[in-house]
Amino acid sequence: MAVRTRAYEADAAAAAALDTRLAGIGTWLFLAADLFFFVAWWFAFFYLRALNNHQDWKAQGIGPPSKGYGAIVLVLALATAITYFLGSRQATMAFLFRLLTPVALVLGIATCLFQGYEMWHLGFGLTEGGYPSVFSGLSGAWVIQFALATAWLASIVTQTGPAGDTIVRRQPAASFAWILLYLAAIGLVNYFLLYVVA
Amino acid sequence: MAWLNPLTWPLEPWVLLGIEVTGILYLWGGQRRVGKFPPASRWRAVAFWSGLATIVVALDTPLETLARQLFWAHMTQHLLLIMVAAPLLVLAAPWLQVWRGLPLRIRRPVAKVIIKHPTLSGVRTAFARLSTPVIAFTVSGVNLWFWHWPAAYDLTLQNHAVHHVEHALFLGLGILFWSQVIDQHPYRARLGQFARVVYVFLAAIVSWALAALLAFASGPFYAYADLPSRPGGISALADQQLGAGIMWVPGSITYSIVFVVCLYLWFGEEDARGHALTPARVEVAK
Amino acid sequence: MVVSERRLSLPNNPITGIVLAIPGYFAGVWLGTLFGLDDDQNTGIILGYLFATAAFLIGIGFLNYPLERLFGWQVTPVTDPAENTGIGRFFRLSLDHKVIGIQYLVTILIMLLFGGIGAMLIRTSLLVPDSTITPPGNYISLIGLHAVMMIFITSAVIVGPFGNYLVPLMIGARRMAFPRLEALSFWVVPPAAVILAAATFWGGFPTGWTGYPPLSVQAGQGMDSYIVGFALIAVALVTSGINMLATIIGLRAPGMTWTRLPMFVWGIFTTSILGLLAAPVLAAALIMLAMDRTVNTSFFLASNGGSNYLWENLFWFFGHPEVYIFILPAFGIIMEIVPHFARKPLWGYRTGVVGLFGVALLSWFVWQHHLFVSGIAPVLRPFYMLSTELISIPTGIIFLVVLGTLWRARVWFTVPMLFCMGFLFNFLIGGISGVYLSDVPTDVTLHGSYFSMAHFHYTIMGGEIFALMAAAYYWLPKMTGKMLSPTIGRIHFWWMFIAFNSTFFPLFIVGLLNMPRRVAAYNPDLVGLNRWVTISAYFLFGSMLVFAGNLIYSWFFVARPAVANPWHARSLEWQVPTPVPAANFDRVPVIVAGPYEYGIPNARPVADLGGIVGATGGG
Repeated sequence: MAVRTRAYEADAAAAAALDTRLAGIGTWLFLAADLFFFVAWWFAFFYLRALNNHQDWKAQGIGPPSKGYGAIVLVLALATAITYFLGSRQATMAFLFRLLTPVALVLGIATCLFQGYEMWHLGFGLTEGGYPSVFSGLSGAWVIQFALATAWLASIVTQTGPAGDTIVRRQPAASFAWILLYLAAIGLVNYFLLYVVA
Repeated sequence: MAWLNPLTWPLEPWVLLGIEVTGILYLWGGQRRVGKFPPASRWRAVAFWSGLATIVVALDTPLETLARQLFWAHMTQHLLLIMVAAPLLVLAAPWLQVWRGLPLRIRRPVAKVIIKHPTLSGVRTAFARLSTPVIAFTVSGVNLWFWHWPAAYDLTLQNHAVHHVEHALFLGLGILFWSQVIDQHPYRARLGQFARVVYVFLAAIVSWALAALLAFASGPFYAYADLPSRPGGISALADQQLGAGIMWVPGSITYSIVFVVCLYLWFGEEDARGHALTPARVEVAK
Repeated sequence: MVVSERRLSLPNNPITGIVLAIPGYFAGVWLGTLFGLDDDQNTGIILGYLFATAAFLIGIGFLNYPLERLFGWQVTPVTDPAENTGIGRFFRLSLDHKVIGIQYLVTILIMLLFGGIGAMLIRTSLLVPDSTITPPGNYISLIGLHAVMMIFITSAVIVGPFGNYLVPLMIGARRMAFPRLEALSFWVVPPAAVILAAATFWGGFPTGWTGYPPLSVQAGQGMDSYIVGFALIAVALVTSGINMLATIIGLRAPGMTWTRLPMFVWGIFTTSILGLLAAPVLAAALIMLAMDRTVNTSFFLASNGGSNYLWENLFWFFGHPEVYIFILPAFGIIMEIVPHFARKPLWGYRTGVVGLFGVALLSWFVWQHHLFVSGIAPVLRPFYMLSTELISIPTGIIFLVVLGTLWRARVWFTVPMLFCMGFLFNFLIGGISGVYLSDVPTDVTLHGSYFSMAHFHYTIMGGEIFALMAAAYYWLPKMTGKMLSPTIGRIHFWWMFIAFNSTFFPLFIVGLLNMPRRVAAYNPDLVGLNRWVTISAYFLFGSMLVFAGNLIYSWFFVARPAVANPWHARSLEWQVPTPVPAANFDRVPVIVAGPYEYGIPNARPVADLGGIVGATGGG
């Protein structure tokens, strides 16, 4: 951990480097906090499942919704994250970035819509036990975060106009890829818990 | 108290043999002065013998008998191996001295084969990879969780050879893990002090997660539940929770000590960096 | 997309915020009724609060940046440097950390007044040993409102005003890492306080600050205030945590190595880690509670597959680090102020930092000591007892660091130093009473009695609030440009110290005599003690009025301007002029020494403020 020897605001290059560093630090901190948020939900899942109070973890006849639906949502989320990640690795706001970012945006919107559709057609009511409660809360919390991330992604898309990067700072845009990848990974864990372990 | 009589203790021939051989080689190695490697300083020797003694206490005392009936006793055994014996042995850094216990006419050809023989190059690379920080962390963490998987755990209760393998892995991978954060004179571990702090902290979380899983389980996982009764009359579930608690709190003592020591050492490094910096050495940005 | 100069035409200030919030509330309520749920209107109320808060924040101006990003408009800097004068800037969204600090200070002090009035009502009710003054239903609501308001306050009372104002100054930075996030962490606090106060319209909530189900699921609409208010505070903790940590990690001036960081900054650092990670767990638990109350899920209802233990574990997993969020900044303050007035280097700097980290780390492992009598697995209790007792070791280390600094020092007994001494006395008592409570056999008897209540008031009020007063007397001259009267300050200290101990020490005795918490009726034999405590409490409230009086007197009547460094302290925040210039430092300073090197021959001044030639702008 080297002691900084340059003034960080003395010139544009140093300021941009500072921006990058702060965006990276901020992203990691946010992800650490958000991970604890989901850990709380995962704890709820395992705890209620182990306790199975009143045999009502899953009341009679309730099972996970179609694994297919869950898989579609997961695949779309992963595709969103990977597409944006590949696009954002460009050092400058090159052609690939301007192509892949809107694609990622479309995939992100599709993810949210599919998840919303699934939530509307769960096949069980929310009042029917512990599993339905955790399913709806965990999936709901996840899709809301994913939707907010998609909205942010939209703002990145709108700012990379044909004239190239005008407003968006490119390094924080690159850091954002980690947030999408993280959300997709959380989606993966959720899939495993809610559909496979159940 | 019958258990104070060593004649009633279980006899584990392989464990005792290993301890004896290592101890004797260490003593012989201490008598040879080879090149610039003097024999171990007093406190390193103390660490070494304490480490060996811990292994004996863990594996060759009534604790071993208890461990066949009680989950928490078995947990204590494992913790003694991973959290006490392994770091003590790493602190002692006895390897060169033990190696020197062998006569030169054995050491030379064996060393030549290990270091230079072409067919072993794959093994050498594998071992080099294994001792990098990330791999060492992952392998020791996976090993920890693996042996708590009910099928694996129950197998060690039934099959004594597998049980020995388990203990050997805990001790060996424990040594590998602690080598990443404790310098073994004259070598230094690869990680910087701050990285060691983070490393130890993350490893502690891995073991806390396992402890939490065992503590909050609503039923017993392992074959101890099949025993008609347990010493002390506790239930299998209480036994499991007790073991989890032991893993959680006393099991974190070594992590905490290393955490604190590395933090202090990191501060020392930061202090040195600060003193080295004077205004003249700061870049003037144009 | 063409870059345009369009801006949003709504003036951004709290009036706009309130004007938008009112229809926002009704929109939320209406939306809630649309779903037609069987939920006693809880959905509507929760949505109403959330929409009102969102509308308020939009009115303040938080949506400008995301909208401008989304539509490709030119991002407008919120604070024009030329506008950075005048009192108006304190009432608007400002990205200047110093303004945010003052905004926090005033808001929290107002909230403290209301929390204190709640306390006075509680003590008044306890003048008689039955429930005649306050009927039981109202009493528990009063307790809950006082407690939750105080929790909101004490979570932020040091980090908010002093952390915000001072951390960049202490590390040689000209700004914070994420000024908008920091402003957000402030602007959710007034709505949280208002929403909490709104609970009175619904008759309050019956659970106390711990919100245990099933009562919290079944409770009336007042419970929704608890949920939304607490959730907003969780947002404040996370956003402030991200910002503080990123600032301290990323914006230290050249030469500011980790071992030259002032202890106050270490205190804020460790607190922010706890806040960042613990608050999301609370947020998850509150969402689950809200779902149970609105869409009738069963996270916490054992009769339907849930478990009340789920709430208890999640809540206390947050709740215990939360109380260390209260005290770690206080430890930072004491370790910061004492060397400057003992005129000796801080004894054991590294040890002090390790102590702070030790407390922060161990705080995650002790939460089940709140659940010793709740029915957790009995065999686990000894481990939580052990971990709780262990946490007294790093705490003790911090005490030793302070005592070592005072050893053989010629102490300058200013008012801040007096409050530091008061802290040491009070926290010693509070901390040791905690060790009693950590023992399972003792706790089984004392849980729910006034003993534990006295314990946490000694640590939080005797500890954190006394540290707050030390910080106020020490740093307000820099923050406001005016000295506080030392004479009134001394009166304030002695009055507060004596009144505080007179109020809370007898409560240990009362607790040992089996008086339970949260209940208005008690054994009539204890009337004498309770009356003594109530009268002392009135005096304690009076001491806070003395403090308020000192503020008013010093700011508006005498208004003695403060010099830049009235305490002749070495640390970096005292090396800038008062009032602090907008960009903090003319030039980025170069740090060449630690802040506690008093009495060391040839010690260099802490920084070279000539800084780096050519460093201008930015920030």
